[in-house]
Order: sequence, then C-alpha cells, then structure tokens
Amino acid sequence: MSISHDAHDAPGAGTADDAGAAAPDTAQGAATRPYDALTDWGVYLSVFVGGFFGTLVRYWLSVVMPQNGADGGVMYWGTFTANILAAFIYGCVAAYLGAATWLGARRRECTNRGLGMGFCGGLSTMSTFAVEQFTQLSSAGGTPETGGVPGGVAFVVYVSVTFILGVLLAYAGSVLGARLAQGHAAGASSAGKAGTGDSATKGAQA
Amino acid sequence: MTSFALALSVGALGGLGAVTRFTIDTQIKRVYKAAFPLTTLVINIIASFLAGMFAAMAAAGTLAPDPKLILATGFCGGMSTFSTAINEIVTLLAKERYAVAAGYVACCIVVPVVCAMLGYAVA
Repeated sequence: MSISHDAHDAPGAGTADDAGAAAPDTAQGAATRPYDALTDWGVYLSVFVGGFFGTLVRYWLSVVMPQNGADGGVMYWGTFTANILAAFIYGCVAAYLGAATWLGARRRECTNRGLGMGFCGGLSTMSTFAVEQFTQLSSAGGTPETGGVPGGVAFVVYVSVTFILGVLLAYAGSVLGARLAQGHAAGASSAGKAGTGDSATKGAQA
Repeated sequence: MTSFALALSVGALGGLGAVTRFTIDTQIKRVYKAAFPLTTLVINIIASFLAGMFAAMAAAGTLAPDPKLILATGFCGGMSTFSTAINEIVTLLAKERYAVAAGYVACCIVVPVVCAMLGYAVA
C-alpha cells in the first residue's frame, strides 16, 4: 500500500513547482536545472493530449451506453463505466510509476501527468456525475404502475455503486500496477545476470 | 457542426479542462500541504457549478445542444475528475487517515451535486 501513496506524492507538485520557480527563461536557471524548462511544456502537453483522448472515450461511452439513470432507470452506464475505468487505470499507473525506478524523473512526471491527470482525469467526471445526481433527485422516477425506480432510490444506488466500485477498482489497479512493476524490475535484474545463462533463475522470478 | 468537428471540439475542450485542472492543482499545492485533498474538491466544485449552469441554459434554450455538449461534456467533464478523488481516498485509507477519508468521501458525495444545483439555480 505504501507504493500507492508514494506514487501519489512523488512525481507530484514537487517537480512542477521547482520548474515554475526556476524561472526557466534565465540562463542560470536553465544551466542549473536544464530539464525543468522542458518539463513545464512537456507536462502541459501530456496533460492536454491525455485529457483530449480521455474526454473522447468518455463522450463515446456516454453515446453508446444507456444513460437513463432517472425517470424510472437507475444507472448512467456511460458515465459509470468511464468513471470506474478511470479509477482503475489511475490506480494502476500511479502504483506502477511509483515503483518504476528505472525510468527517469522527467519521463515519469510526463507519463504520470499525461496518463493520470490527463487521460484518467478526462475520462472520469465529477461534474456530469453531479448533474446526473441532481436529475435523479429532482425526478419522480418510476412508479409501481410503470415499474420503474423512484428518483431518490436511483440516486442512492447510483452513487453508492459508483463510489464503492470506484474504490475497489482503484485499489485493485494499484495492486496490479505494483505487481507489474515488480515483474519488470525482476525481469530486468535477471537479464542483467543473463551472462551466466541462468534461465532457471529468470523463470523462478517471473 | 459535423460529428467529427463536434467530437474534435469536445476532445479539445476536455484537454483544456484537464490543463486547467492541472494548473489550479499545482498552484494550490504550492501553498497547501495538508492531508485533506482540497485541490481536487475546489476543482470539482467549480466544474460542477458550471455544469449546473450549462444544464439550466440548455433547458431554457439559451444554449444550443452542440455548444452545451462542448462546454459541459468537454470542458467541465475534462476539468472535473472522479479518478483522482477516488485514488486520494484510497491513499488516505492506506495512510490510515480514516477520519479525513470519511470526511472527504462525504464531501465528494454532497458538495458537487449541491454546486450543480446552485449553478442550475443562478443561471
């Protein structure tokens, strides 16, 4: 579990802060921290591109999946799928990058921001979710005659399922991410010993 | 608007929303270091309020469907985030900050919908 919070804190505001404070325009700033100026625009670009694609996927899901969470229905499946998927991917990416010590700091920063903040942030939404909740609360929903679900009940189910599954999948994602990083590190260190041709060791570690 | 141009616009505004979120997050985190994920909450508050406003404008007919989609699904959807909030909750639980986690979950459930209602009401 510590991997998960390290990943959250690590390529976090620290690097971007220093980049902003370094006044990258000055020759001195560029000389002492040559990568920070690039990190600035590289990170912004990663976030933009990630957000672009994440939003498109969310838009597509909202079009192809049923979104009748009110007026008798319960779930906005498009929004729900997008949110849950994003929670899982974010958990996985954050845990993986937190343990991916073989990658450079800038690479990790851009990947973390691009995939996490950008793609997952674009894929997930709290604003659409909020308006949907509002719609559910203000909708009478179904009645015993029509067989639908009352708006208030739909709200409780939709919100609970979204948050519970979100947390579970985020945790599952972080476990997977940590395992993948371990596997990659183990594979890399065995490859380093490959001179001895010890394939048995590699097999055991994988 | 062609559906391709519309999709492109939704995506672009989503990217802008994400960059806006990143900017606000970075700025607030320079001065705010406590455990409670205030940055994400502030971002979601703003986006939910705007989304409520756009919903009201669309319902009243003052905002056409295409622009509404671009602004609400695109910008607000890109700016707001559920995945960051959920992972912040998981991180808080991992650090055994259960009270903060519970408070944050409560905020995430109540605050955005209230903001959407407020936005809807004032538009």
